[in-house]
Amino acid sequence: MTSVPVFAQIITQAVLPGDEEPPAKLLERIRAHQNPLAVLSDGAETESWSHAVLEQFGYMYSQAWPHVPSPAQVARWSALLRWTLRELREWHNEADPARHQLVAILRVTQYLSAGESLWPAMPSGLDQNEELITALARFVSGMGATICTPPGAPIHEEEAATRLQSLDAGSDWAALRHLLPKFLTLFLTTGFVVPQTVLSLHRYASARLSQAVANVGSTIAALQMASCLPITARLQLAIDCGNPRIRFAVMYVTLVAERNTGLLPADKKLLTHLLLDVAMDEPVWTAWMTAFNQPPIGALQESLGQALATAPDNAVHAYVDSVMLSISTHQRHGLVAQCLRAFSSAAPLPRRQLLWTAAHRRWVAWDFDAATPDRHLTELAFSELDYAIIGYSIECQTTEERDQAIQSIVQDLNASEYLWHASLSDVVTMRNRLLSRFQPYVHAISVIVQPKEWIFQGHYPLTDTRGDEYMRLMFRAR
Amino acid sequence: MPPRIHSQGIGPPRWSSADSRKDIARLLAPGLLGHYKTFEVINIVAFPPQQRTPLNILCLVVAEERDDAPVGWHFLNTNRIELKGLEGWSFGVMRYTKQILDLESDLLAFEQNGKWSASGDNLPLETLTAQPSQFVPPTTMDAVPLNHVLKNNFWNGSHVFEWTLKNKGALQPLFDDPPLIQALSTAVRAHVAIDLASLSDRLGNLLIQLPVTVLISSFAQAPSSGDFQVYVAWQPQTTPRPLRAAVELKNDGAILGYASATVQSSPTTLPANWARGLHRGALWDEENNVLLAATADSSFISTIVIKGQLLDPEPRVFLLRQRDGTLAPQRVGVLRIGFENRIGEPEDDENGGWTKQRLYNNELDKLKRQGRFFQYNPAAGEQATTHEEALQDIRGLLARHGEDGAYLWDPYLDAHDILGTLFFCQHASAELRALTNGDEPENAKGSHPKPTTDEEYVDASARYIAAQRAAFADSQSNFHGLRLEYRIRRGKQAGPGFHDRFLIFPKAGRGAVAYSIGHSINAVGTVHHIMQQVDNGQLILDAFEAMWRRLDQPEHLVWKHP
Repeated sequence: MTSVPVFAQIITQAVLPGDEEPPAKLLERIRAHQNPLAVLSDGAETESWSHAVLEQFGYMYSQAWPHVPSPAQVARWSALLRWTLRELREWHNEADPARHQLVAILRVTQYLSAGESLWPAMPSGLDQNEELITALARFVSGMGATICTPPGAPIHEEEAATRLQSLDAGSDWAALRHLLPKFLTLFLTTGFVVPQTVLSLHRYASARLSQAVANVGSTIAALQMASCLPITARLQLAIDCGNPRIRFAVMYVTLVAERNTGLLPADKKLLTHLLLDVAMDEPVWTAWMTAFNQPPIGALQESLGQALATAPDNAVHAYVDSVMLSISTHQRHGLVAQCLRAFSSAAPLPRRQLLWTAAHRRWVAWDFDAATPDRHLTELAFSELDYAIIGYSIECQTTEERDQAIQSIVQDLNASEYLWHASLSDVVTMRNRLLSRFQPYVHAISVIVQPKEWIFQGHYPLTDTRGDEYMRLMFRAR
Repeated sequence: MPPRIHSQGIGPPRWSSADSRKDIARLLAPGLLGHYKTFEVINIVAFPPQQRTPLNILCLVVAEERDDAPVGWHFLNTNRIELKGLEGWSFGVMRYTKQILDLESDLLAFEQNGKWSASGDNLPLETLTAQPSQFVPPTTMDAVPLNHVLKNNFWNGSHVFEWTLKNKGALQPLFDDPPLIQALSTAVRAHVAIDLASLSDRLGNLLIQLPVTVLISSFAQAPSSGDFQVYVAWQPQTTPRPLRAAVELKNDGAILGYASATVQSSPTTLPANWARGLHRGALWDEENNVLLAATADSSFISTIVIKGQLLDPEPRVFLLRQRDGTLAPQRVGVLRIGFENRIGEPEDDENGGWTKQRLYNNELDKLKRQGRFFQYNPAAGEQATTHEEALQDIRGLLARHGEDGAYLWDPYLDAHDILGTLFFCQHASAELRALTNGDEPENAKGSHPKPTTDEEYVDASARYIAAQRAAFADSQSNFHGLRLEYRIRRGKQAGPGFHDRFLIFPKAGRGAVAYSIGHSINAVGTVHHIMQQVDNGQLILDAFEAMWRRLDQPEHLVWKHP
């Protein structure tokens, strides 16, 4: 028996007339505080609230728990939910100025969710309670969060916390992205108020949620909110709200923290939409490229490729500049190729030519890390931009230009061993660098002659009159 | 075999330019060493002041297989190279290429009139002396010095013919100030990978390099059996000829293995019971009696250890008191060894490690015998004796290396120390220099209050110099054969103080030799310390020269004779 029928059973019973069972012990504990909102950060106190519910209603089931609840248990939970629904419908500001009742309701919905999503299954109509919606929206818009370390914490933790605050204040998305993993998911365990408020608002007044988060000024709070929502909902929220903190948080949670390896087609579309919105803001887009494309993230690539097909020109340049070029002796640039393949399918020729040309310019200047002293190439190498270089050769070069590029490399190869070199490693490196440059152009010709995948494995050899074995021994090739 | 007698005396017949030319002509035969089509000339030249004819600094001729059209002479440096400290001189790196067929006629012309005119201009090289040919293998674990000036000698090796300039008088200004050679070398390396400073004895020479390219070879060790294997690939345009491969393994003065075989396939195995040691391989063309490849002393790596280090996220922090009394925060990243991987089995000697220990002891004894390592470890009450021993060791070094001069560099040096050391140098008119900081030894500290104002500083300096001069006067020496200058680091222009103590011989064996004394002369040998020759004598000399030149004002001179 899965949890869903039980969950549906509780809700079905709760909407019917019947007895209510208020969370008496919980209410008693919460009412013991003049201002319950002030004690939300007191872990021990909120833990006691959790125990109060458990004492009265027992452990709520979850999908992970194979226990099948008895009809009596289901009846008690239904009675609790019936109380909750009525309270939500009837809640008004004047009756609960200190929010004792509202805090108790949210604590109960957290209990009833038990790791699942209660709110999508909740009956409609609660949005009619404008005062409730307004109160929940105020909770959200007023949410802030700071991070600090306890006295005696290790120096590096204290420094990281301080740096996090500073980067957040400066909206330094690129640096934030690389600092946040230090905190793992510490700030994603957020108690009950944030998730229950955000989820309830999303269920009953998503437009009000968007408005409420528009001015959230803390990335940590934004991360907490983003992590409460399912992927589709959070992507939509990021698009709607326009708050760069929420947008960054949604990207971080979706692509980094949750390590999603793939997105549903609808989510990919939303992600493309979000990327296109951000691409209009050049500094933020550039920071995002550093944050989320260094190194490239699998779940981003297809949407990113789609977005680049229509994004402004400077966004294309920023993307190309963000690709982390590295030398690999085997083909491992699949993620970049995945993005560029999606781009290539969606973009018209002039746009493709724009990206291929920018990539080619960068690849030529990089020249397999030629600027790094003592960077030696013991074998032929591939690069992350190979797909774009082949695209450049096929779609930007004429036959003559392609032949000329190849001839120029061959000439340099022939001359290379007659230049003065300080070491054998230098000669071998120069030769391997030139042969690595040679590969995409030759593959492009091969693709033109017989259409095939642009990414290639293996090497195209260059014939030398001295014979293969002579060249193999001379250049210590395998 | 008794020495042969010829017209010039006893010994082998003198090698001539004609011998070199004929040998080169034989080796240039197509397909013998290579299929040469052109030759490249790199000629580093100097233009001394008021002299229109350039001086040859180094001329290297390399035979090559490239088939490009000849390139006329041109300078690789767009602006002439000028060296600070050698006013009026300039240098250039000239390059040109010619057809290989021209080489023989260029050599003949050189043989007949003593001028190298391959570029079309005459470069006077009359005073050069031809040397018999040599085979220069590529550099492996041991440096092969000539490779510092040869071109791309990375594969089989090269036959090299050299004409040497024995009288380097015209280049004396460079030898007088060795840092100039270093500066010239650095400037040349910006254009061509020639390291003049590493081979300054070759300045003024002409070299002809014939790299072996007709085949390519590689000596390797078979991973399973440990036997040697020789891989050979001929150029397709050459008919393979009979070759003999030989390899020798030596260790601890003994030949542990030798194998020779006709090369009939690639690889050819040279079976032997290979143990530890250094090996040398050679490939001999039996048909033409010529060496086609050789390796310098090499060895195979049997074990490597890879240690991965992780930076501890938590730094070490502390406050360090500054000279002004303030406390400055310090931060040190702490590295931890994350993992250690050993690949291969550690190789011990076959004698349970005893041979390795004996070789270590032998090496230590050898260094002591050669006067390159001295250790002083006085027992209580023996300090005076060991002090005298240490002074005797220094005097021994002066006798051995001090013919062309000796420089003593010690912050606590004083007249008494100089009398006990440099005055014992037996070599008449050897250039002796002494450089002090004028510091007081620990046991004398407080005898004079430390100067704090400029006036006190000048007074103290004058008092110190007067005392030093008085000490020399008190020695009642006749200063016979003595050429000594004694300077002190004083004043705002003098640069920072110094701490290390060195005894430097600027021209010992044509190169600088420096000893780290390890303690000040005034107490040398009285505590445990080591005096040893250091590897980079030239760099120590350069540092000394730089400081010596800075201290050239009258107030820096303590004493001088004559």
